[in-house]
Amino acid sequence: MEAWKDYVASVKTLPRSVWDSLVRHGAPVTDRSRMETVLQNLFLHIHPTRVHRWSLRWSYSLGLGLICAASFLLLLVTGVLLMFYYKPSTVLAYQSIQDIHYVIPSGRFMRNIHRWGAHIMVVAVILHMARVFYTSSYKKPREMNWVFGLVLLVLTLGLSFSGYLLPWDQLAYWATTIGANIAQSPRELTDALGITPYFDPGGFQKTLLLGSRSVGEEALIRFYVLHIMVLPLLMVVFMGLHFWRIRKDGGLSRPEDADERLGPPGDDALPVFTQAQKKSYGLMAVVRGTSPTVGRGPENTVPAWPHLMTAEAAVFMFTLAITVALSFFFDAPLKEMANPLIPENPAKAPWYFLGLQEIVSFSAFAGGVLLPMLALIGLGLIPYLDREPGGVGYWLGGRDRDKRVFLQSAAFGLAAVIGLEAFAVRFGWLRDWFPGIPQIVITLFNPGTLLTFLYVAYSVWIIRRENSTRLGGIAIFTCLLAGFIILTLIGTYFRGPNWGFYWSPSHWPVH
Amino acid sequence: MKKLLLASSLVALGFLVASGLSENVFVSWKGYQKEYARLLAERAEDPARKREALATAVELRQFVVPDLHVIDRCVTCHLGLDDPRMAGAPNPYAAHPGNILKIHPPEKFGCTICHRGQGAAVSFREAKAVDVYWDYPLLPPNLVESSCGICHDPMALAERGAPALARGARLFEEKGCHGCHRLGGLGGSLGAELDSVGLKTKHQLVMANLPGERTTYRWLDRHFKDPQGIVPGSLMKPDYPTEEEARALTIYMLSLQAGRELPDRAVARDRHRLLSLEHDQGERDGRTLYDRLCRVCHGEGTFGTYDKFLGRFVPAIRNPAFLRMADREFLRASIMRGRPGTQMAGFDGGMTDADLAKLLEYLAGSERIPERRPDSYEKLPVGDAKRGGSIFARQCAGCHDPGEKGQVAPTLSSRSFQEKASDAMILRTIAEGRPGTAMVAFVGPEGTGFTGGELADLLAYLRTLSSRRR
Amino acid sequence: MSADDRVKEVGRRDLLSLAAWGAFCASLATAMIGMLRLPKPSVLPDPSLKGKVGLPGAIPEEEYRKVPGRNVFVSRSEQGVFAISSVCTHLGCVVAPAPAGFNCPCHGSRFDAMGRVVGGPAPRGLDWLKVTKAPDGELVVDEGETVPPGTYWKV
Repeated sequence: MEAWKDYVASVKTLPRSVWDSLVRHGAPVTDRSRMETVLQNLFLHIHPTRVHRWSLRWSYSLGLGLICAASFLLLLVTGVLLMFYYKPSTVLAYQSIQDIHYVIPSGRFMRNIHRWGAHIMVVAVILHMARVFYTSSYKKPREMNWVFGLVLLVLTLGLSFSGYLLPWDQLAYWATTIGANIAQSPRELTDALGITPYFDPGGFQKTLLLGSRSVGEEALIRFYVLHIMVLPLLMVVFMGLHFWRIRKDGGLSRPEDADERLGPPGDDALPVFTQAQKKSYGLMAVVRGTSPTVGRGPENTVPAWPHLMTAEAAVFMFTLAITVALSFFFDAPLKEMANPLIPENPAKAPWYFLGLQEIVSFSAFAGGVLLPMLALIGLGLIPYLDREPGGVGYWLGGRDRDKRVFLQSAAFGLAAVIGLEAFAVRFGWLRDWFPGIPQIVITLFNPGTLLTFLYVAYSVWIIRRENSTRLGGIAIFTCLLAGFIILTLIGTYFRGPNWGFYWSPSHWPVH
Repeated sequence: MKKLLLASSLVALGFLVASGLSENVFVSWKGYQKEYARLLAERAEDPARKREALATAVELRQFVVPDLHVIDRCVTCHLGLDDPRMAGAPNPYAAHPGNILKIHPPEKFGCTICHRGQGAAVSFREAKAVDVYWDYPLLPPNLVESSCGICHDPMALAERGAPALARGARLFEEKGCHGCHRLGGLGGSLGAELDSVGLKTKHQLVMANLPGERTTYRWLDRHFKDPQGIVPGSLMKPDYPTEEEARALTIYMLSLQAGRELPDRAVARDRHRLLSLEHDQGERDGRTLYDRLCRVCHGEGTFGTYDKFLGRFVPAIRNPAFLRMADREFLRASIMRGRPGTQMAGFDGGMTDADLAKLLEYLAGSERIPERRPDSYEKLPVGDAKRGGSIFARQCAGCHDPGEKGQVAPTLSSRSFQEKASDAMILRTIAEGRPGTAMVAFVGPEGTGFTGGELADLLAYLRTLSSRRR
Repeated sequence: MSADDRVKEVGRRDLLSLAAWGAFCASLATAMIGMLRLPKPSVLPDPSLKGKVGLPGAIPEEEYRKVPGRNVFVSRSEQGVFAISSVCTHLGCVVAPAPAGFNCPCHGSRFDAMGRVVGGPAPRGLDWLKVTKAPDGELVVDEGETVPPGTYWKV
């Protein structure tokens, strides 16, 4: 009978015991129990249990990293929903987008969110990189996380570009055709060397990308698989790495004297060194060298729940609000169905590649492969070449010298790119003066390479003049940013049919 | 942070709700369906029918025709299209006029196969698709006839269904359009091939000079009335068609859609024949061929005339004087490969050998033309180009000025002339002239005019012209 | 209870927090509704279930005619024209006409000439479909709408 009574009691307490086995430490109503929840819950433990007050200052991080993550989340959700209806076939793709647009409940809205969210993500990723750079947050011990960040930048652009083909409209078809031929552009070099028949990385890349000679069914399937499988998986993996390293590298970067600047914490903050019996010192055995938090006054931290989580929710909602507002007012573009016989004129790549397309208009190899690779490698090397301590955690180190160099570099960067472009637009380039000139000369000597050379030379000069690698870094990064912005603006707003220069699309010749 | 969270959440919520409302509540087709139910109830004979009408579900409707790749949602708003009671109702509720839906039930053909437009759309602006991204916007009602020609022989519909289409097809033959345009394997090569001109999109036409809506059908209509106004420098002779003729021709052009994939069941038997590019255009004699291919430039062909539009003399190819000089080999070459330096482009591939033979017979008329006339100019010595140059300047440059473009006479320096014209042909033309044109004979019957040496010098000079062009 | 747990309960119930998180949940819920609506299309891509089967006079008497391309048998008796669905009510296979009625090839359900179950696992007889007359005089069978067995369209 005892067993029967126990059985009945168990049945009576069934909901309670299931709940308790799910949530092992009571309702998270106190700071302490919440921290425990954060620590033990799989989904929450991406957060630290406590977060430094400096990290929560929005004027410091601008929430840009979170905006990236939030827009990725939005894209993931809307992307999965769109997959319900999207058919990756040259015959059906366009029709399925039309259906999504016209008759699928909330289909048009989801597609708009997916489209504008992608643009927001690209912008946010670039701005986030700039924030990290200008606050010196790539410095030791965060060098590798800067590199992971660059990988994420590349993945973001790859995802965005691979998604560009899927609607199978004219915009998609011709942008992808251009993209695939940029992938083939190493031939410019191998042709000049005469080794293309033996060693043809360009042709290999294009074939790998398209699976055939031109953009068609094979290419569509490949882009689809890249877009919904390969790149998102890589993205999740590298986001995991990125977040993991943020935690392991001591959280968001902050200045040495953050505690003094913030003053003592408020009364409501829970003391860190407590009498808790559950505290484990076992992990101390694996700590090598100085722990990132040693000597940093943990008293200036606040519990991640609710402070960090409110911030995260706020940034997520902010991203969502911007995206849905855009999606409400503007429909994602869908041009005529792809037609290999009628090229778009001008056929433009997605906006974030238009800076490159501007250089591509001189040399496909320089603009499509050489310079982006150089820029990526250069950016990746910044933390290893600039090892100057100090200045971490402030915008431009909080020093007037940095601000001065920043402004000078911005002025130089803008002047150089605008000057070179104006020259090329007004007077043409080598091919216009010497029609028979071999392409290899233009590949090596065009506004893009010239600009890069000027920027590098300028930053070297800054390093020597200011006797500071950090300032050299600021110089090259600012110049690159200025060049990217100006070239992108020119490609977006001032280039018309046949890549001619026009002050406004209203001056385009009508065809 | 909490304030930001609150504000962003409210903004997001607002836009989410607004988009939900704009998608589900404020949509035009729902309003149309409700109005239609009301109209139907008005026309109902008894209360039961009336209740039924008012209770009709408000839902999207469509015609799905898999083998035509058609999903047409027009019927979402055009609800009364097969209901005779809606005959006099206003659009979009009106019944479809005529009995065409009986023969072509929309369940089997959809709407857009005839009317064009974007069938997937559910609002009129997007379905009409003139100012949205869609290749084939809705045809105006008076051009819809063109779509009959996709599956039917236009001529078979002259009496029933598509008189304007048939008229267009006839006009195309009568006006000699084949002279420059190849269609169904017949015609010249000066103009564009027209076999699938009806599938062209507005991006394939020069729209710069078309005022107003930029659609292919408006382009065609204006282009027939004023070719040079739409395409500056066009070689197409203005024909000044009437409003009706232009419409008929536009309809015929829109119907030309060779290469379009159609299921067998949709294509009428008489059309199968016409859809193949090599089709036989039926019995045609030499006279018909002459009318279709030659008359547009050569007229009756008995008198040479100066054509203002072409800017040169058009030879009288049926003039006995001309024919006495020509041989079959020369005529065949001229017709098939064209006359270098003139607007006479070759018909190679644009007519069959049988056609060519019939045409030659017709041209010859009562004359007997030998296969090849003996040539007396083949064995001349090599001349001196310098001397030839001075003769040319004196005697020929008036019409053939090599520095000018668009002169009265053929451009002798053109590459096609230099490649195609044989030495013998050049010599004979100079000596005997080109009857029916301004080119007179430069060697008289009694040894007057050029000597053999002078002819050789001229030839040598002419051959230097090709190298002067860049 | 250790000393730490004496920390005061968090003042989470202040109005701003409540409003902020409330709005957060509300907009996520709204978004969720929009998302959940998406998988159910408002119009299916299949061809219409309604289809014309010919003029009443063209329907054969006392024998079944399969409507080409559709899962419908039509026939005419003294009472009028009727249509029977050829989709088995067990698990949706297509039944085949047999001398005594219809047999289902999948699990052996058998139906008599009027569609009533006479054997096998089918839970009920074959569906009778609604027959109406189109404005142009042809009969229309709607596969989407069943009627009680024994419902005829009077000639």
